Amino acid sequence: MPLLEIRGLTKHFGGLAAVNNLDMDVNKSEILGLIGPNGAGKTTLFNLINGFFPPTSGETRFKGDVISSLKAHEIAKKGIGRTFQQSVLFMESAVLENVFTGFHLNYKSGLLSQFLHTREARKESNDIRQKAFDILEFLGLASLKDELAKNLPHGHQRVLGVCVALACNPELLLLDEPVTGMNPQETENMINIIGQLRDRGITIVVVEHDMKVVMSLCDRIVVLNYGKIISEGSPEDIKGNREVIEAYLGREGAGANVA
Amino acid sequence: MDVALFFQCMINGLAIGGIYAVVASGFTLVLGTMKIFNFAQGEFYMLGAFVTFGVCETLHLPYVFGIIAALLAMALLGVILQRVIIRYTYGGFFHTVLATIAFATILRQTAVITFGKTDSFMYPVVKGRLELGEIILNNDKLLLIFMGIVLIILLHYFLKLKVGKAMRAVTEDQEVAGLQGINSRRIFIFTMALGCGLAGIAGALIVPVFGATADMGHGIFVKILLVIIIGGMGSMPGALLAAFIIGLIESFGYQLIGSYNELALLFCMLPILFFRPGGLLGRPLAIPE
Amino acid sequence: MKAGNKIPFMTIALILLLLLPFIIRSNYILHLIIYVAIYSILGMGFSMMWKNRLISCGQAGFFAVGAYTSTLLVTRTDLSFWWTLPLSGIASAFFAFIIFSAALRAGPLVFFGMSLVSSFIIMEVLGTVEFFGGWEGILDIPSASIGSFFFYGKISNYYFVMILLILNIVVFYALYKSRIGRAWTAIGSSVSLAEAQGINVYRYRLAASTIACFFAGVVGAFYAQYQNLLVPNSFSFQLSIYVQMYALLGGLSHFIAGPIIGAGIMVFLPEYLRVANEYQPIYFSILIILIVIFLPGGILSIPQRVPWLAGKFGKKKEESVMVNE
Ligand SMILES: Nc1ncnc2c1ncn2[C@@H]1O[C@H](COP(=O)(O)OP(=O)(O)OP(=O)(O)O)[C@@H](O)[C@H]1O
Ligand SMILES: [Mg+2]
Repeated sequence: MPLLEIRGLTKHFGGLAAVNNLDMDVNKSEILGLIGPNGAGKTTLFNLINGFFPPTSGETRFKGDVISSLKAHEIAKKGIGRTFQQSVLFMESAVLENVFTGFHLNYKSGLLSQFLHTREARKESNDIRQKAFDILEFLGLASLKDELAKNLPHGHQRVLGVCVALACNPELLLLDEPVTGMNPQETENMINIIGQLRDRGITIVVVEHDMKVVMSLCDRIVVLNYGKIISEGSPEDIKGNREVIEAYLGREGAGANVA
Repeated sequence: MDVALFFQCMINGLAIGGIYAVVASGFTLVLGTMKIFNFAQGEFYMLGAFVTFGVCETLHLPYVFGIIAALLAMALLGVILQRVIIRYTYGGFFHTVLATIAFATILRQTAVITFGKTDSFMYPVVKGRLELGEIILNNDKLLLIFMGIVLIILLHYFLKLKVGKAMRAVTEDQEVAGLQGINSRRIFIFTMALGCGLAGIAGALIVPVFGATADMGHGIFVKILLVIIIGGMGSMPGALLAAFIIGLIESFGYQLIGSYNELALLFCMLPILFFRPGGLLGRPLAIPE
Repeated sequence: MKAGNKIPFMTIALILLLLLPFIIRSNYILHLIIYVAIYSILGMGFSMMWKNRLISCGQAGFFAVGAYTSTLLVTRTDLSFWWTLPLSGIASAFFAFIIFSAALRAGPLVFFGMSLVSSFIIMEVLGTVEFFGGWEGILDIPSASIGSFFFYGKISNYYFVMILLILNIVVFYALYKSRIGRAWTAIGSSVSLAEAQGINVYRYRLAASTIACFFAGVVGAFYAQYQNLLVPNSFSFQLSIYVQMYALLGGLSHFIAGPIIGAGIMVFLPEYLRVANEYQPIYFSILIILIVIFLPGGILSIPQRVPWLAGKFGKKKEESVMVNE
């Protein structure tokens, strides 16, 4: 059984079908690339999966349960984490604080003991703070833990976004353009990180315009245009597919960064 | 409740509803186009009434001039508010709101000091009443309803003109509108003038019926807030519908349960909000960042 | 800052508060301080909602619900004031819960509108309905008493309100430092990220507004027995705006200190400037406009704005964000 099944998913904005009767599966422990020209509906698809928008019709199932009727916070609880195309962070908080806050779902102690700051609650908080620090260490941000998020350089903000998403222990991680605006070194680092996350058993869907990254990283690629899948297959298949090349060239002209 | 009383309530409700509709559509226009939550709208209504009273009673000019004067004066004041204060608030939505609240307070308190808090200044225009058997309808209220409906229809067609289209374009996307050659600064000024001018006209309309009172601005502002919440923020037809519904609930409520009517109004509105969070004909509007 | 550094400071502040009535010896100034405390509690409630990016225009209304609940229970039944104190809070919180559970479904803008609408309607109802005493209000409300001791004078009421204020500060502080407070901060910082991390934004916002109104209700009960009379007009929109103004003047990103400092300044300043009552709203409004334009971060943001002060205090702020627990 696929980890995530999408059946007939549709989202209309006024007259525009941003996602149009889409069927798609995401298998466990794969890295799935989602590509397509600007406005193809990639971000909208993420927003539908993680519950920011209710779909106009169709449904999504996660580990067999229907999740398309749930709210975003309930879907996060089910184990789907995401990052954003723009760096969305708790900008006024410190780096460690960002991840710590992201751990919201991991508390076992009740609200009352949290409020009274009982010994257990304090211990739990410290454990979770430690876990947050571990994540930072894993992704190489530990030395910046006291910096305010808004003061980080762009590349680090993107990494921090992934750290925060990891805090809700996702089984499925949706990454929206993780390397956009990064220099080659940062890009390299991010590719490593994504590979390591998969090795830890996290399934990953990544939206990306940089074809080199997509080709080297993904096990499988889905190409969207006008809210529909126009092609699907291994990186090699996609590379040689005329329709895909046309979709890009047709919309963006010769300047597109297609490999 | 007998037939005569029923019609009395109906007329009162429609009259109040018409006033709400005019003030609220001005408010919605400004909120929708410029994302400004103009707290001074109620005070513009109050000042409009005083301008009309001044022009008609003191200068002995015909009522029509009173209406036009109220429109122009409030349009001007609205533009001043936007150009002199709102433009310089950088702190975000809350800061802008507070600035308009402060502006409203200044207008209101000045009026209270000048005219007294509850003294009513009335300038009757039409006298007499229409008697249909038992049913008695006051002419002034009928005139008010008539004027309200005319204004709403005028506004409806006005927004279909080129200016109205430009306003919608600016509402949707300022940059794109700019590319189409629309000067959004000018549209903003115009919207502010129109929105506040409508409040002024509504004030002018109320003078012959209930008179101008220095502290009537806040009360009506609260009501039009309820109107746009229930109607659906940014939805003009929703605002009109809600305005008349609330007007009628108030007038019948007052007749049936007396002073509890406001409370009844609140608890009538809560279920609507609960089950239709976007209001009757709208969708939830986000606070602009 | 380690918690250890705060303890001596807190102790000194507490002792000072305790001795204050004997240092000041002026009933009038004590009276003003009592008002500062009342406004601080209302302002902190406003700030708690603001932490969630909710703007309440109706703190006066929920304050009134508390005041009237206590008064009606004390005068119409033989319930002791001390029972009505928490009951007023509960009544106010309950009212807030009903209204905001509907309003919050539609988002912050409707919350903003409904807070104003409901507090206006509360005032109208209190004024027009016979049962609540009408516009003339309720006179001769008995002061609170313990045995044969009555809270008549300024000094006893000073201690009473200080206990409420400190209780309020402690509870709010504990909340802000807990996971609940972190969720609120998250919501205030980015609603979408908060949701994506599994925070139930609706429920947390509702909790914040209910808690804030609970304390507004409790201090309302105190106010009623302190004033010994209630007039609906004293719970007008103006009061709600003043409450917002205190929080703004102190500094909107300081959820506890901001309202206290703002209230302290705005209660004492007009007294010393001898502003006529009638003109006060006008001067206050001009001040609001000036703050909004020139000092949107409030007084507590001045250290960060002035370069040489920022070196001394600015850094500290960042540290204290980090090291809590
Ligand atoms: N909240 C919204 N309201 C209205 N239209 C929207 C909304 N979100 C997206 N759209 C529209 O849906 C279409 C798909 O947008 P989406 O952001 O999903 O594209 P994308 O594939 O992520 O593009 P990009 O590569 O530029 O990020 C676009 O035409 C966009 O204008
Ligand atoms: Mg996108």
